[in-house]
Amino acid sequence: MPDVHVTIDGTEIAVPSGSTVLEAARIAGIEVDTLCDHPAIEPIGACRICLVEVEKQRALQPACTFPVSDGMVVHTRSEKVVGARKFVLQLLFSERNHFCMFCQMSGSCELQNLAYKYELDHWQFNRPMPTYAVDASREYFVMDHNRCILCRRCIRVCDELVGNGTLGLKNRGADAVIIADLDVPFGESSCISCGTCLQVCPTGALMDRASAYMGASDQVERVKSRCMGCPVGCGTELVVRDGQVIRVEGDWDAEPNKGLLCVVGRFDPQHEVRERVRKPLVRQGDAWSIADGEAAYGLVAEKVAAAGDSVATVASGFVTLEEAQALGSAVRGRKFYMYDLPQTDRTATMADLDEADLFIVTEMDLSLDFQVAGMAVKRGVRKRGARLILVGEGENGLADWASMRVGRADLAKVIAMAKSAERPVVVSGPAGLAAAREIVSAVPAASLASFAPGGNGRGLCDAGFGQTYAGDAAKVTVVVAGETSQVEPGLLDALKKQEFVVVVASYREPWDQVADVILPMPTAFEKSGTTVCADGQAGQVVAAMSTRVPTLEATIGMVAEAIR
Amino acid sequence: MVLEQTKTEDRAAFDEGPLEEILDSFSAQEGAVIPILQRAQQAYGYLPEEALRMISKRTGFSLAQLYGVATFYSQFYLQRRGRHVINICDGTACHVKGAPRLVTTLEEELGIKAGETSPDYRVTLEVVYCLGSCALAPMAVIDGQVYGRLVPEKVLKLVRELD
Amino acid sequence: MTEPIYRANVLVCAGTGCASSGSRSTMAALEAEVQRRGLQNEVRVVETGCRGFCAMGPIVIVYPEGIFYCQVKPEDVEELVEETLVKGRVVSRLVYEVPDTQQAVPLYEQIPFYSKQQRITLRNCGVIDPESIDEYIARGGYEALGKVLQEMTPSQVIDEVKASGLRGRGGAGFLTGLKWQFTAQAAGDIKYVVCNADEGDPGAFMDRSILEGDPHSVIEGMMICGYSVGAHEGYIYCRAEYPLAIKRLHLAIEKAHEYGLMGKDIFGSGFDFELIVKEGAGAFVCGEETALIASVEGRRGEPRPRPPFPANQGLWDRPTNVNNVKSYANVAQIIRNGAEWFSKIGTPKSPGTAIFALTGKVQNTGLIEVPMGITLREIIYDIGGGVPDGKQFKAVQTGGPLGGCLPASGLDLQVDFDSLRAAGAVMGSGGMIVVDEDTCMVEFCKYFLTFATAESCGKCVPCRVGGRRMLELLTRISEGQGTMADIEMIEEIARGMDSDSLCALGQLTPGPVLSALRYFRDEFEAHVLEGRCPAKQCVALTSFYIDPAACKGCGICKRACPVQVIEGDRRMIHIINQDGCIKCGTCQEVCPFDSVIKLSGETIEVPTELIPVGSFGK
Repeated sequence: MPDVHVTIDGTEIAVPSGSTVLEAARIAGIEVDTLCDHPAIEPIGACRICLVEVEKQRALQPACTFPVSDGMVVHTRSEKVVGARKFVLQLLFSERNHFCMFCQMSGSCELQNLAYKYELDHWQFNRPMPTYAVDASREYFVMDHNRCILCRRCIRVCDELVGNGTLGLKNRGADAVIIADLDVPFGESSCISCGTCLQVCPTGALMDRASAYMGASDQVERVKSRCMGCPVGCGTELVVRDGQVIRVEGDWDAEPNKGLLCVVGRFDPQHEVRERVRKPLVRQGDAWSIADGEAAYGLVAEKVAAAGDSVATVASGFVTLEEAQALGSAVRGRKFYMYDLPQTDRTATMADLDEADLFIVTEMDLSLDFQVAGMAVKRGVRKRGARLILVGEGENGLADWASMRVGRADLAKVIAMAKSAERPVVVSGPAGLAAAREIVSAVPAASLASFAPGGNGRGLCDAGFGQTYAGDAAKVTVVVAGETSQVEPGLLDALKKQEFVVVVASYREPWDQVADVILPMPTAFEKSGTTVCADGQAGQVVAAMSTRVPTLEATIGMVAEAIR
Repeated sequence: MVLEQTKTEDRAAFDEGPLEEILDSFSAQEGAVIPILQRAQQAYGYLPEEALRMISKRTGFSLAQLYGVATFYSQFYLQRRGRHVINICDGTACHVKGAPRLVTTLEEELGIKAGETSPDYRVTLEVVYCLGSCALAPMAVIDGQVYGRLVPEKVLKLVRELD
Repeated sequence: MTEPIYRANVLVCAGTGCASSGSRSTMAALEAEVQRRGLQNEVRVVETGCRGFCAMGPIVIVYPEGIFYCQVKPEDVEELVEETLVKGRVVSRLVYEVPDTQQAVPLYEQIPFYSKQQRITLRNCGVIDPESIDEYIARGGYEALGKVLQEMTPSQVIDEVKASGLRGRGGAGFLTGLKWQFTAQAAGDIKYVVCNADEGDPGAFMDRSILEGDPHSVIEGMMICGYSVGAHEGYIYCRAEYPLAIKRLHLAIEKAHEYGLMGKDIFGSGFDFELIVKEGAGAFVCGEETALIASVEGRRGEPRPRPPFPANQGLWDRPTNVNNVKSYANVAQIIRNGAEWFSKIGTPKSPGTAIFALTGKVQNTGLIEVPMGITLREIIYDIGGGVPDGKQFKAVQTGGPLGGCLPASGLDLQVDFDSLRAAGAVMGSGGMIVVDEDTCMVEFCKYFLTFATAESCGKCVPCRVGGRRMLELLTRISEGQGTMADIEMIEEIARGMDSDSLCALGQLTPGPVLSALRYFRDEFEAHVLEGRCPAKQCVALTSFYIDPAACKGCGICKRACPVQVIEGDRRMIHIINQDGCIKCGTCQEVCPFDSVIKLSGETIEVPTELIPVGSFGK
C-alpha cells in the first residue's frame, strides 16, 4: 500500500495508507491514550479516551478507528482533546465503584493510571453507586461488575481470539452488564478458564485469585519464557515478585499463541497441590524417608553401576533439550520418551491454522488437549466462517463448532470435502494419525498439524529419546519426570514391575507409588533451556525464580561422582 | 420463587416442533437471527431458554450473543407473559394528555408495576413509547387492538372485561 | 373483466389513526349500504392510506365533488349514502367545522388544514387504494423506473437526483444524490440499498403513513437507487410496531413481482432487483444507519464509528446506500418531473417539502406536508389552527427527543434544514410538538432525556453515562433540590456529549435541554432559586388548596381523595392536609365549584380548623 502523509502534533510522517490515526501516531512515536482498545483485537471506538482532533472534522474522532488520509492534520494533545478525555474519565469514575484504594489492581490499573495522568483530583459528577453481585463462581478468577467499565475487551478476546463466545453483554445503555452464556454464573458457563479475559481487563473487574494483592505492576518483574505443558509451546510472561512467580500471562509477541494460554499453562502451576520434592526420598518398605544427599545418590550410583547397560531412561515432555543431552552423554543404556512420539512429517504451523478454510480434526478433543490449537480452530469457525469436520465418535468439546461429524469409516466423504476446500488443515493426535495421513495423502492442498503429548517431545527425539517407553525391562529404570502430571495408569503398572526405579521429579505424586528413589528436579519456572514445539520451532525456557533444588545436570554430576 | 417454578414447568413442556419449522424456513438466510427470535416469540409467547439454545446450535450465534440481542431490543421477552398484553403509550402527546394516570390506575387495579405480569399470567402491563397515533392521545393497545382518547375509567372497564 | 365506470368514489381513510377510531366498521357499513341500495356498479368504496387529519377520523371523502366528512360512524352511513350518493346533497352535520368560527367547510380543498399544504411525497396517500398496484400505476407509478431502466445510465440518474438538490429526509439533510454517488463509486460487486423505516421518534408517524398509504412509491425509489448504485438487493427495515405498513409492503412487493416490475430482467433491461422486509425489534438507536445495519445482520443494534461509511462498508461489509422512507418516496417524482421541477419547490438550499407529524397542543393534529421555507407560524396557526382552549402558545419542539424547542419569538423562522439547526432545533425526522403554558420545560426536557437515555445503546461512555448524570441533575431541579451549579453542570455534560459521543443519538441527546436552557432559562432558575414551577407541573413544587371563599362544603373532594387527607364536614370549609397530599389532582377534577386551586411557590391562607361555609375571614 502506498504511503500517505499526515501531520500529528506538528510532526509530518509517512504511514501506510489504511492505517488508523492511532497506528500512525505510534509510528511517529506519539503516545495516544486508549482504554477499550487492545492491539490484539479489532478496535471499536467505544470508550472515547483516544479521541483526537482531526482538522476539518466537526467532532472529535477516535484515533483507534479513524483512518488516515493524505494531508490530514491531527492534534492529540490540544485543550479540546484533554478536556474530552477528562470528561470521559470523570463519567467513568461516576458510573460504578471506582474507589481505588480498595482494589487489588490499584497501581496496575489502566483507568487509575489515566486518572493520575489527567490529574483527576476530585469527583465531578454524582455517583449513584449501583451495587452488582460479585461473581466468584469461577475457580481461578473473580468477576466484580462494580469495577467494570464496559470496555468489552473480555467479550472481544473471548470471541475474536479464543473463539469461545462465552462472554457477552445484556441489556442496553446504562443497564448493560457483562454476562456469560444466558446470564449464568461464570462457573456454570461454557467458559474454558483460559483466562484471556483476565489478562486484558484494564481494571480490577476481573481478578486473578492466586495473585490478587500480591504485587502491583511496579513491584513485579516479567520474564518471557515458554510453557512446557504441551507441544504448542506457548510463549509466556512469568510475573515475578520477590523471587516467586505469582502469575502466568500469555506473551502477545509469541508466534504460536499470540498472547493466548490455556488453563494448564496459565493457572495449573499456581494451583499445584502436589507435594514438592526438595530433598532426595528413599523408600523403605512402604514408608518414605528423606535421605541425606550422599546416601541417596550413593544408592542410585550403586544400582546404576551394577546394572551395566541394562538401564532404561524415560523422559517426560518437561525435559529440556539441554537436560536431554546431559542425560544422553552421562547415562548408558536405552533412552525412551514417556508418550507417543511426535511426528516430523507435519506441514502446518500454528499460523496455517489461522488461514484454513476447512479444519478436519481426527479422533481428538481439542478442548481437552492442545487447547490453544483448539482456540485457533474455534476462532477460524466463528470469525472466518471456516468449516470444521470432526472425525470419530464420542463426546467432543468442539462439537458445537463443527458443521459435520463423521465416523472413521466415512473418510471418503471427508476427503471429497477437503478436495473442494482451498486450505484444508488436518489436525490430529496420535490416535487419529492414520486417518489424518490418509486424508493428507489424498488431498494435495491439505496440510497436517499433528500433536503428541508432552511439551518437548521433538527436542527429546532429536536428543536420542526417539522411542516410546512400553515397559521395557531393565535392571535400573530412570524416569526423568519433571513436573508432569500426565501419567497413564499403564505406565505406573509397567514401572511397578521393574527391579529398581529412580524418578527425578518436581513433585512426589504419583511417583511415590512406583519409585525406589525420588530425586528432586526444578520446575520449568526454575530452569532455562530449549524446547522444540510441534512445528519444529525452538523456544527458550527462561528461569524466573531461583531454587535450591539441584539442576538435572547437577544431579547427574552427583550420581557420577558417587559412582567414581 | 415463582420464576423458578415456571422455569421447570416450561422445561418439561418445551415443544421443539414449532421452532424446528421456523429454523428450517430461515436456513438459507444470512443473519436472520432477529426474525427467528421474532417468530419464536410468536410461537411460544416469549423466548424460553430451550429456544435460545436451539437457535444458538443452528445459527452459530453464541448463547451470549443471542442473550445480548434478546435483551437489547425491547420487543423480546425472556419470561412468560400474560394472556393479555396491555401497552400504554407514554409518547409525548399521550404523556401530555394524561398517560401517567392511566398507568397508575392500572397498576393499582392489577397490583403489579408496569413491565410486570400478574401472578396468574392473566395480564402483562407495559408502558411503551409512541405508537404513532398521537392524535388519539392518550392511547393504549390491548391485545393488538388500539384504543384512543382514554380516561382512567374507560381503561379500567376495558381491562376488567378481559377474561 | 372490465371495470364499470363509477359515477362516484367514496374514499375511506384506513391509516392507523382512522383505523383506531373505527374506520374499518365505517368502511364495512358503507359497502353494505351501497350493496343494499344496488349502487355497487355506480359507486365504489375505496380503502385508502392516511389523509393526515387524524384528529378528525374516521375520514370519508366523496368524489368527484371532494366532500370531506369527518368522524363518520357506522350509524352515520345510511344518511350519508341516502343524502350524498342518492340525492346529491351534503350532510352538514358530518362536515368539518373550523373550531373558532364554527364555519362549516364541506370541500376538502377548502379546509384550512389542507389549504396551505403541498402534497408531493404524500400525493398518493389517502387518494389511492394502497393495496392496488393498478391505482399506483394509474397515477404515474413505475413510469420513472421504466424511464430510468430504458433511457438513462446510472450516472445520469445520480446526476438528476443531485441536480434536484434532494436532501436526506432522515434528519441530517445530507445530499441524497451525493450519497448515491459514493455507493456507486465504491469498489465491490455486491451492493445493497437499504430503506430506513425505523421511525422511532415519539410523536412522528410520517414514514408509517407513507408505507401504509403509498408503499410502491418507496419501492420504486429504492429500485431506481439500486439501478444507479449497482445494487440488486434491497432491505426495508421497518418497525415491528407498524404491522399494517409491513403487511402492505409485503403485498406491494408481491404485486410488483406479479407485474414483472421486480425480480429478473425488469422491463427487459437486464436489471434484476429483489426486496426483503426486515422487522425492527424495538430499539430507537437502530434509526442510526450503522446500528440499523448491525440489526439487519442479526446483532445488537449498536452504532460503530464512521468512517468507514456504509457507502463503502455497510451491510455485510459491502457498499450500502441507506436512505429514509421519505427520501426514497421523492425519487420517482424527481425522475418523472425532472430535477428542475423539484428544485423550484421549497427553498434553494432545502428544496422540496417537509412532512411533519403535528401533535400536542394544537387544534388540528395530524400529518402535514408543507413546502420548505414555510414559517412555523403558518404551520401552527394556519394549518394547525393554533393552541386550543384559549391557552398561550409556549414552545414548539421539532426533531423529537433529539431535537430542540423554539419559543414564540421563533415562530417566524423558516422551516428548512439549516435555519432550524442554527436556532438550536433540528429538522430531525419530522416530529413537531406544540406545547402550551401548562407544560413545564424542565419536566418536558426530563421526559425527552428519559426517553433518550433508555434508548442509549450503552456502547460509548459519554452517551451511556453522561445521559444518566444529566437526567439526575434535571430530576433534582424538578424536585426543587437543584442549584445554579447544577444548571452549569448540565451544560458542561451537554457539550461533552455533543462533541464526544459515538453517534448522533449521544450527540443530539442534550439538544432539548440545551435549547430549553437557551430560551427558557428563567423557568429553570425559577425551579432552583424560588422553588417554583411556573407551569405548575413539577409535583414536588406544587400544592393543592381549597379556596375557603369558594368551598361549598359538599364533601365530593373528601370522598374522592384517594389518600383521605381532606378534612371536612357538611357545609364546612374543607381543608387539605398538605403533609399527606400526594398531589394527584383528583380533588381539583371532581370539585363542581372549581374551588380547588393548584399553586407553586406560593400559598394561600386557609382555616386551621373546620368552620362553616362562608365564615372564613369574618
